Amino acid sequence: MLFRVCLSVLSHESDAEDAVQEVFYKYITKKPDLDDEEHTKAWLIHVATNQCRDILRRRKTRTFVGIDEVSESQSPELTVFENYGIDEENASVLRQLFSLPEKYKTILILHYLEDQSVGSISESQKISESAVKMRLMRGRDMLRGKLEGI
Amino acid sequence: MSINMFNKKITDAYRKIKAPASLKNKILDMEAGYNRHRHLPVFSRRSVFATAAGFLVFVCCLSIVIISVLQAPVTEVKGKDGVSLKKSTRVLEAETVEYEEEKQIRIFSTEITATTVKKPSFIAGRCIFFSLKTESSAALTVDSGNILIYDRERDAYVNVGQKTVISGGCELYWQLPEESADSTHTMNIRDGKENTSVIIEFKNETGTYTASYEKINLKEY
Repeated sequence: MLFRVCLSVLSHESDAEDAVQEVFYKYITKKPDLDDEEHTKAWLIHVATNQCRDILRRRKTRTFVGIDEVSESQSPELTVFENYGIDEENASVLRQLFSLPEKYKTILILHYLEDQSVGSISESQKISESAVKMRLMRGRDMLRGKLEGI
Repeated sequence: MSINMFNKKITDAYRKIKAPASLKNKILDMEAGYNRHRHLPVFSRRSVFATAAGFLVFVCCLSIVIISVLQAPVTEVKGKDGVSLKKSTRVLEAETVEYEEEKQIRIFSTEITATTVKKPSFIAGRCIFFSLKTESSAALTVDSGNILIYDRERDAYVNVGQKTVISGGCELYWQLPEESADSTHTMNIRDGKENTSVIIEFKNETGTYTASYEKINLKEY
């Protein structure tokens, strides 16, 4: 699950692997005092999404791409789905989902594809439940707009 | 397209994405490596540095304590009037008494500090070091032995016999006579208001010295 979430946020397999490794490194070394499986899950998702945001920030500040490479590097997610045997029809929907702004797609993925409740997302993302619902609504609208444009 | 965009087909397609086995192995190795590392706390590099740093700090603190104890004056001024010794209600038993080549007394306690004689070529015999501070002049007498007061001009300890007057700060040795039997020696420091006595008792059987203080406020009499 963590790998899927990281991959959907980062759209890059190696970065997603690095993020997951970092999350488990923190889990192993910090040994957070968590009551049950739900809290553990929420903690892992929270750290994973923060880690992904860090990677995205670093990417923004450190990546310098040559003009000739732009067309190849703009959409790393294009090749991701082929590796997992996802057919083109479904891949196109997921591709549009993955191209949404990070704060909307994370909420949509956690809620609709990872079956996380609004309450759990609120806990793991450290935002209020109403904020989660608002992002879900806006994210759906944004995705609907993208899919209608296909 | 409706919200049906997240139908079962999409969910199933999404769930085909799985972490590679190599990633799982890396995480398992990482956990095993971390646990191995944790079980070697004594020899880990970080702990060696931490232990060394802690040891250095401990040695520094110990040095400061030892130096301050060895340098501490025998007596200290308390109160505004006249000379006074730090009052002690208990009798101070000397912890150790050592006889060195020059037969100097080394008495370790919080109140009377043993010391090696600063000018060993000049002072020989059994000496107890005192550092006294007075705000007014005070008469200093001993009933046995001699008083050796430090003279700044000569940079030496001068034998003033058994009676002298001190004023301000001064350092001195009380040179005790040779002991062959149980004996008691008394030093009196007296200004206009009070009399302080330092009593040194020697027990021949054990070869130990015991020091005690007595302070009498002269106004009460």
